Amino acid sequence: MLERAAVLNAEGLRCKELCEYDAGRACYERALALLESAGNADPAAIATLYHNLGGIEHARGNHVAGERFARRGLAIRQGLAVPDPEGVAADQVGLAALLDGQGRHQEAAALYAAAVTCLERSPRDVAHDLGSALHNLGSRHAECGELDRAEELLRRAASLKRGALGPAHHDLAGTLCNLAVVRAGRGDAAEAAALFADAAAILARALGPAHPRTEECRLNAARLAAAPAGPKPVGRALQAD
Amino acid sequence: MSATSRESVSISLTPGQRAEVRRATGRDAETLEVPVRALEERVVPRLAANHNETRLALPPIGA
Repeated sequence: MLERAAVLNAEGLRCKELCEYDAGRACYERALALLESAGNADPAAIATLYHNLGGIEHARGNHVAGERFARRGLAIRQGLAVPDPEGVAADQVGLAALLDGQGRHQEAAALYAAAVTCLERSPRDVAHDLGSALHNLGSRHAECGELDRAEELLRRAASLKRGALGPAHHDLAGTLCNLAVVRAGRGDAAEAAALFADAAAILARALGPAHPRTEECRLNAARLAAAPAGPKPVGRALQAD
Repeated sequence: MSATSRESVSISLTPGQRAEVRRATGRDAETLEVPVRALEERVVPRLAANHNETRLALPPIGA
């Protein structure tokens, strides 16, 4: 049962990467139905499926719908018989991103801070989760115009992800893109263009040369290479790919 | 099997397993070191969680 749910979950993750959101959601819902019908299913697995349903809605910009799933997953994980503080922290980051998307920035910032504190103290290998939390926290600072702090956090996030995932993972590309936006915001179009070009190369290998994110990075690199000098304002992307 | 640290466990190989390792790799080994996390993922499969990451946008150049 858990093995079938794990296969469906993996397929849901793949669908999210490929921007096939309806298919991804269907995979998670089938996995959830399997586990919930079993009666004695692992509640941690159920919490993760709700977390991932929230992730699908985050990816397509349905933040209110995603928040409901994320809160459900977080509540389940907080109630586990064997505490999982790192799992709770990862759920908090997922929920915070959905609140951020609704403009509820203070609530999001508090959750990011709590999650980062927990993950930094963890003896476990949480580099990917910590990198992701720092990515979002850094992006929050960037949107507030705090570009020094944003850059520091995003560089740390990129370093953690490079170590945990290797240099060719698409999650690293996302952080390089946000770092590029911050560098452009500080007037360094040359480094920003190079970062977008690096991200485009990673995404072309990981998701394909025609993937919308690959094309967006390639276009941004070209625009910056041809741009006049001077700082560029920082904004938030429409989340749907 | 014994825990040698928080990070990995050491598994003593049987003579048959040693022979298989020798056939597959050409190397002699009496034990196998396995990271705890890798072992857990095989014994108790965990579902992987995705990461909701904020995407910043580059505004139109010249805007």
